[in-house]
Amino acid sequence: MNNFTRQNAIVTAQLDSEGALIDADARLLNAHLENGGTHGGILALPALLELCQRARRLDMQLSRAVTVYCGETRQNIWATAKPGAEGATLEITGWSDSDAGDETSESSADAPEGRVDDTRRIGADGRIRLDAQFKILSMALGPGIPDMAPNNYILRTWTDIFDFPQLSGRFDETALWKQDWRIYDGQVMALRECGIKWLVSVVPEKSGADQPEGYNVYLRVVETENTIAPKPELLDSDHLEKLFSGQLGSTLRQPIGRIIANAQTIGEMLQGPLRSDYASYAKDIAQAGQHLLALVEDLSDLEVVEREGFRAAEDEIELGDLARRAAGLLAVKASDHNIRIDIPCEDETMPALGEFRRVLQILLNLLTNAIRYSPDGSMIWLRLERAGDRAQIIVADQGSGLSPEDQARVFDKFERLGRSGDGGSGLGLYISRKLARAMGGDLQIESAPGLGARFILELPYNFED
Amino acid sequence: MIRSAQAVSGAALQIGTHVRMQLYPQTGIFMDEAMKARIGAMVLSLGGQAIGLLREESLAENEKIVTQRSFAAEHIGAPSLLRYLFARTTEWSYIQGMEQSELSPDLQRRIESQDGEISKTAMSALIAQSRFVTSVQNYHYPLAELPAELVYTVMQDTVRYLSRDTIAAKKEYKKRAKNILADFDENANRLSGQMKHAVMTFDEAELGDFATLNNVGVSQFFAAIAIHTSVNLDQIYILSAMPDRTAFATLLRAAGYGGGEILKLFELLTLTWHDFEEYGAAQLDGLDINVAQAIVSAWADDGESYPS
Repeated sequence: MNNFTRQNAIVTAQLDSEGALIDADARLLNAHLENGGTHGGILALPALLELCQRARRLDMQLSRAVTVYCGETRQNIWATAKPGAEGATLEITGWSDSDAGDETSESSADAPEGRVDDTRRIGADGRIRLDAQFKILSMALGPGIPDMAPNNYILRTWTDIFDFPQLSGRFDETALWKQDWRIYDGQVMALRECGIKWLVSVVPEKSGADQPEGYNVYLRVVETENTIAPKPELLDSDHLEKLFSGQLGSTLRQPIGRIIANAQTIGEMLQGPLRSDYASYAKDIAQAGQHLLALVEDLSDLEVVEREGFRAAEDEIELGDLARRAAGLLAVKASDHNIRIDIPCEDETMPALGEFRRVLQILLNLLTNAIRYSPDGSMIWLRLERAGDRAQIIVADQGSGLSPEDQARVFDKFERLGRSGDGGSGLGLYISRKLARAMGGDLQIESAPGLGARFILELPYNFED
Repeated sequence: MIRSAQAVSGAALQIGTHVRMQLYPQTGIFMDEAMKARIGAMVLSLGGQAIGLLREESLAENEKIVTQRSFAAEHIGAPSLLRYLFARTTEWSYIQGMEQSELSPDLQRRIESQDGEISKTAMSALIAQSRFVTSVQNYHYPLAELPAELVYTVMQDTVRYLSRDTIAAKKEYKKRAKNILADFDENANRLSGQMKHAVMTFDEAELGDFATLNNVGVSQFFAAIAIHTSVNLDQIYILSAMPDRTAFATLLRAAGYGGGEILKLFELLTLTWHDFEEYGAAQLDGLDINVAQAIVSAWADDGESYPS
């Protein structure tokens, strides 16, 4: 039995209202830098940052057991966040001495991947965790899927459980391709003896080694037995073929994925030192690849929303919660431009009917646009309103605004309003409006040149709530 | 008086029928009527306390019952509160079931420690634990024992509830709620104390050395498991209450326990495992600890704090 061996010394830190680290004891500062944080930058320990933000939001002192990672070392600590007028104070006990004085400060390459992972996680209908040999460690396929006893799938190779219709017959069954995660990314996967199909998104788990330690697989339902598939035979033959084997899935996503992965490996010098200008070029390539991948995603969504009879689910959703989630996902991007997102208060609610994932997608699109076209240091507002039987969420920015002519064109397909080079595809607003209308709502704009823009997403109000 | 007690009991049972549906419906958790009634009564108790704090004048008994019931009926839609209360009721039922001496050997050693801080913390834990057992026994739950976010939610909802017919009073209620919340110290809450103690005293590698629950007490044991596996404490209690014990056994395996120890822990907690023959101690031993940890880390990701 252990006899009270942990360190009881208190580690303290001070954060400003945006979550930037103003002052910190050496242990916390080292951990922050090891995780890719910078001096005076946003605290790079997400669990602690979230605790401080929550304490400020509630204006209450919060105490939690928190796990933080300092390089490869895991620390279980006890953290107390005290809100103040200018920010928050952190007090931490239980931080062991093992990493004290560790001066490693190489910035981590994983933060952007982590954000991508978060976005996929929130939008996912289900999730599977695989080990490095593609054996299933855990599985949650989402509501409405028949339960499987864990001993029927745990540690079994996932291709023994699931089919990949677009891959079968294309390769030798024994070939090494089965060990490459990229082959599965963007594919359609089916559960045997069950009429459900998912679109698969594979995210390798972070590792310093060459090979990933495992994989997170995020699933999006593309076809179910009785809900989304009014014409299953059409989906099976025409659309899925058009969508995923018709070059889009395997021909575009996979090479782009490889380009990004390889460019990131080079850019982060994971396989050895490199001249800084070459590393910089590689990062540019990775960034361009990300834009291209975003375009592919937009095109995939375009296929979906233009499908005849496309309908979104009618779930009970809470717009306040969605607004806060969307703002949370883009907080880092906004802070990079010193833009503040003003979100609805925790107790502000607006019950509505719509599909959670799709509404989140629309909000992320509106917020991304607002951040992209707003001046540095400006503000973006997310507001909830009700107009009769409609629940509204409004995204308002301080950008340059749009003329009436531009407003009339902004929802058109591939419309860029003369802009280029900013990573947009001209499809986001078109898809968003289509999605809003598929949910029985609408997406509109109010704007004037020089006065910013207000995008109003309307959905049916949920009177049952 | 009898009428009031009946009213409370009736309302609690009515609330109880909603409880199961809100709690992980897919897990098939079994809850008997007594447990549902206890959770329902605790929701009523919390509503009564929040109303009492915000309304200075004392309410007539009948009005109080009606107000509590209406308030609780609104709160029944808050899964985070119900999950929390379900976890506490499960915790309480384990303590009762084990007929365990509250003064575990571990706690006794801490109380006797020469380190004044450790001794004081252990003594506070003992008092808080005793208060918790008595409270739940009496179908009551102290508002101040909730996690901060739940206290906040309950107070905000109470403000909204009390001021819905009198807009003029809203400002005053909000002001009172703000003052109450500003004085709230989550560090003084029993579970926070348990978790803090677990963080400060148990090294990861040594958790697996815990011979039995008897050494540390139910609550301290679960707190240490939560710290060790990074799975939300309430989620662990909920997993332990699932009829299929595979998940809980995997969690204990991830914490470093062997098959024999896991079965002994089940016995101590009086948890039956009908499919045991299929698994057995040897098969549990065969489950690699790293694999078990990878499995439960997915649950840790899904474990939410309060409220969602």
